Amino acid sequence: MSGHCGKSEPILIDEEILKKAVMEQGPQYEAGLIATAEEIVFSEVPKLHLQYRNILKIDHLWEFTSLTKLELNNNLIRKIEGLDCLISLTWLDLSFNSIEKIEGLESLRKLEVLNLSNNRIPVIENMDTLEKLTIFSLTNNLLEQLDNVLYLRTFKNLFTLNLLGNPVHKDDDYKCFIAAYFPNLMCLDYRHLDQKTKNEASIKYHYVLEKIKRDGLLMQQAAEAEQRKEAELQLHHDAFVEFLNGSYLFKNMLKDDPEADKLHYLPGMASLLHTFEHQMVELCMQLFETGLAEHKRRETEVNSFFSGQSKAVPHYQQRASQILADFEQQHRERIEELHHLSDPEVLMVKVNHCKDEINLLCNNLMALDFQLYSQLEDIIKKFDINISDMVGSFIETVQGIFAQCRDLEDNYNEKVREIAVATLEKVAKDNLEEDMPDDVRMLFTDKDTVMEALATGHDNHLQTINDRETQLVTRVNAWKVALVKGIQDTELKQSRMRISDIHRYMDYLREQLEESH
Amino acid sequence: METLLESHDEEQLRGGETPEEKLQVSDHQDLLLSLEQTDALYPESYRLNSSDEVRLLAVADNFQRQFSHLFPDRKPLLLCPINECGVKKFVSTTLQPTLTIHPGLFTWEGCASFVANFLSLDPLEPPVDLPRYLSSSTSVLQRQTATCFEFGTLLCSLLLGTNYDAYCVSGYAVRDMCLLDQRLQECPLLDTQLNVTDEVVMSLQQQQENKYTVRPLRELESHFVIQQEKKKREAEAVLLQRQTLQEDTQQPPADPLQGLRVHCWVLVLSGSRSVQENFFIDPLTGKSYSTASESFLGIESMWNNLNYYVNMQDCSNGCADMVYDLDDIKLWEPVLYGATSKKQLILNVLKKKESHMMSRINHDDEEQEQPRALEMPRSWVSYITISKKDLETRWPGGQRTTRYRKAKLEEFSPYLRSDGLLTRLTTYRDQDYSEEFVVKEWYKHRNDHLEEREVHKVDNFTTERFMCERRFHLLFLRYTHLSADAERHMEFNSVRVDGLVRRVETPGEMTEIFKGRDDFLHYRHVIFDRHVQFTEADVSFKADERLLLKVVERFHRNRKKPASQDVAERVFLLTLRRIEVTYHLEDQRFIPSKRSFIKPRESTEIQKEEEFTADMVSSFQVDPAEKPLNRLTLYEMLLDLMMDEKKVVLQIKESKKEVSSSSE
Repeated sequence: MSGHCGKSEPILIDEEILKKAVMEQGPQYEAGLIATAEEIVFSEVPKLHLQYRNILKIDHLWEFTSLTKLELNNNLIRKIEGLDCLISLTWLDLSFNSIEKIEGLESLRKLEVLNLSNNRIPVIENMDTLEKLTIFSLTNNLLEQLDNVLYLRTFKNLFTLNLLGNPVHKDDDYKCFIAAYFPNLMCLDYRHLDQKTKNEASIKYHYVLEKIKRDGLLMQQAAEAEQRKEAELQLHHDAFVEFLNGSYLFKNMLKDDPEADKLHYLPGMASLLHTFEHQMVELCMQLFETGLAEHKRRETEVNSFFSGQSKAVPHYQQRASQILADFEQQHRERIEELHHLSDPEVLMVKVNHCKDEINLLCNNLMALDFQLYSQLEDIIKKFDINISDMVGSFIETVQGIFAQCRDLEDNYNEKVREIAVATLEKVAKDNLEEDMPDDVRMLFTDKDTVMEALATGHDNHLQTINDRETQLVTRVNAWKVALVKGIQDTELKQSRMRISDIHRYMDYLREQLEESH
Repeated sequence: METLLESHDEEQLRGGETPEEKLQVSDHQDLLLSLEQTDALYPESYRLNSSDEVRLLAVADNFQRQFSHLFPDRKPLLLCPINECGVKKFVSTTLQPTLTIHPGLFTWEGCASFVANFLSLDPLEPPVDLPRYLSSSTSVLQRQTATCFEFGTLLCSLLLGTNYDAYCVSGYAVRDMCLLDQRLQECPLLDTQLNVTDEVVMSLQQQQENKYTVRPLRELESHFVIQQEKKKREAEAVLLQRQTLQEDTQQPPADPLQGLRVHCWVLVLSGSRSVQENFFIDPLTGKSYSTASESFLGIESMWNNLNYYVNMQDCSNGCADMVYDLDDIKLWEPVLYGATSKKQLILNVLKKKESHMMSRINHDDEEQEQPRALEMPRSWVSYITISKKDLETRWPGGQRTTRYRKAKLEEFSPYLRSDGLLTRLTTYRDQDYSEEFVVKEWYKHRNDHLEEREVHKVDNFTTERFMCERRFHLLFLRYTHLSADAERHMEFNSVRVDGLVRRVETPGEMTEIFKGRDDFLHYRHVIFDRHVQFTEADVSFKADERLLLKVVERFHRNRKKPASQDVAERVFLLTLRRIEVTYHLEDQRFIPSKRSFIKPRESTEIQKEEEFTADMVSSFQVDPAEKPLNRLTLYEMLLDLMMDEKKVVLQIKESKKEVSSSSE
């Protein structure tokens, strides 16, 4: 390959070559003169033509970060490498080289056109990240497996595919196969893929395609369901009441009760436990509902705040623009006047007048900014108060419900204790009616152990409830503080930015004034 | 004279002739003489009375005699006037319910406006007496002149034909109505536009309130000044009110014949054709009035094609309290007692339908025939035909002039005038029609697609409106006077390729407003060099580049670009060889980025072209973090701008050309 350049030696890419290439494709005439005067900045070059150069190895390209089109065809390249930094690349031509494997393209996520024709590639692989691929050429390579082409099905935008001159192309069924599996394809092997072929193919591969379609649909549905679920959980999380719509908290409470299994054999325990669970779940649901409702309220509040805030700014921007426009009109006239003056004294006076006007403008703009800032500060304060009230009342409600949970737990514990004591007595007197496994009976011979187990269980339960409560309350408070702080910070930052803008503009105006006379 | 004698004989046969009538007939002998020649053209029913009609006339005569005996104070009723053939005909039989094929005449509005437009009024003479003759609607349509009774008869016939429950009413009305004098009324075409602005204000006030809305700072102002202003305005308003009051009170002297003038109009009762409320129609104007209207002063009688009713209610205080329950004999005395009324007719039809259904079940049910009273005979008038041409011509002779309060309305039928004029409304500043204020004209079917022209005589400007097919999609044009230097305001259809919506031209300046352009341009303001005077002849010459002083273009925000690269305003200062570019404001900022270029000199025969140097550009970049552009990019930017400048100059030339050619 590239034998026509036989005379010259194989070369490696270095800076000199790159500079020359950039210069050659640069602008012409006047603009070219300017361009030569400027220093070449590799990181701004949009295109690079490096074909017919006997290049042996891709190298030195890491500076071309904004490169969109790279032509490296008709060289002696054996391996795709050194392209990792060309993140904005959309067009890559590597045809007429000696490449044997597709690799090193992982970071080229924006790539749309890829030409790997006339190489020695036997397998399509390592292209998972090229999601935007629309045109893919692989003519005159060593592709043998027709099934391997299916790898390209992941590219939804692919509309041109060229596989001419591969062993695969000799397969009788080749065209039909491709047309069936790539319904969006417009061109195959440099020819338009007509509707007739597509229809034939779709009839021929009807069953397979149906199955694929069905599978795809199922996958999609599953993905959607997953997404919905996640979104819901996220919503619950944002409302600070995740995992409260069910018996999750209850189960968590009873999770590590000591001797739980044994205790459950006690008479009346099952029904007691059942009622307890039922009541707990009810309270949890109450918490959950309140949480969602409160979340909604807070959301509307936040939205209405932001909409109010965003409406205020354009109004002030308009006023500032008005002031600026007025000033500039007059300023231009004054500068014009300066040009016609020759008397240095009068000139001096006029220049000073101009400076005064600039200062006045500065003051006006600053005053405007101050107004905006103070008004925004007012509404932020108002918002802070409102949102704090909401959060406060939410916390109060939540704490009330958690208190009920604790009462429930106390109550339950009391009853369990009674049953345990009764059983203990019975075991002591040995007049137990119920049939009981031996290990349970063994347990109830030792009063201290039972009582201790019960006490630990009770403590654990309360601990779990308290933990959940604390978690909720802290998170709500943290959210509120972060929100208000964030708003205040951005506001301050923006005001600072405006003020610095104003000052810089004033400097610019003064500079202009100095220059003009 | 044969017919006359014949009718005399007939009358004598019935023995109902009064000396008065005889006299009246001889009064109109000349009319009848003229009619005699065309007599043969009329159908037989016009010239003779059928046996039913003779019986009816006898009944009517008897009724009249009894009526004048019982109520000697009341005026005689209009029962049997003489038709165009000199034959006595009962008024109800003169009504011929007619349905035309024209969809425009299916509603009462269409019928009323047709009748009002198509006929011209022949006032009653004397105005306090009932007419002695009443022509059929067919001859009235031929003549195109009619008395108010003939107006009413025609309108009522049309309304009955389209299934309205309509009645001819004979009564008394005010002078202006009887004489079709509308000089005290506002012209209906002069609609007040105040309501529209009110709505706009309302919608502005209804903006959503948000508790976080930043309220603009209160402007400090003096209460005293405001009060003074208010006082002044109030005083002005009072003055204005007084003036208008004075004008309004300049009413004509009171009518000596008030309450005596005879008029005929149409009453439409509710119930049919989804009419919700009873109302009157004045057939002379075609306008509807409520039954409580003060223009109608009293009712003597009313009739439709089925019966004749005499009013037994007191209407010395106008018609406001009248009750139109025709079945109540105490209120309305029918001439034909026991004859079917419209209401009964409807009921009968319903009953028949029902009994038909019933009779299918029990066949033996025989319908009981009631002893039949004298029913109203069929109309003697032949079928009324209205041609399409009649509808188009509308007015007698194709045109009509109506005078309203401070306004004169001239109407023409289509194609009558060669300039396509349909309507001309002239408003005056005074009531004597001497000082013209605004002349508004409506056109149709014109080659230049002109639809409306409004000439303000006082401010001396003309406004023209066009249909969409006009060249350059011109829709609206307003100018002070027709010369090249005049002030001109144009509006265009939105389908224009260049998106031009409005163009305002004043001497030395031109403003163009665009809408929906791909390049987001929405405003272009051009200032021409005033020192170069261009006269009418000069308009056609190419507007030379030197004529342009300054071009300002403004663009909407293109959200696809970052604000600091999206041009908001471009100013081409052509004489100064400068181009100034202002970019859009970034969010939250007050000051936009700016750039100003000085164009390098082009090469001439003497000098080489000027090189582009760094001091030809001055930029202010609002974001200090952004890297300043290098010289190459700036140069490319300048080249683009210079290209655009050339394009803009060309476009302005085109605009100029368009203006001069559109005003031709």
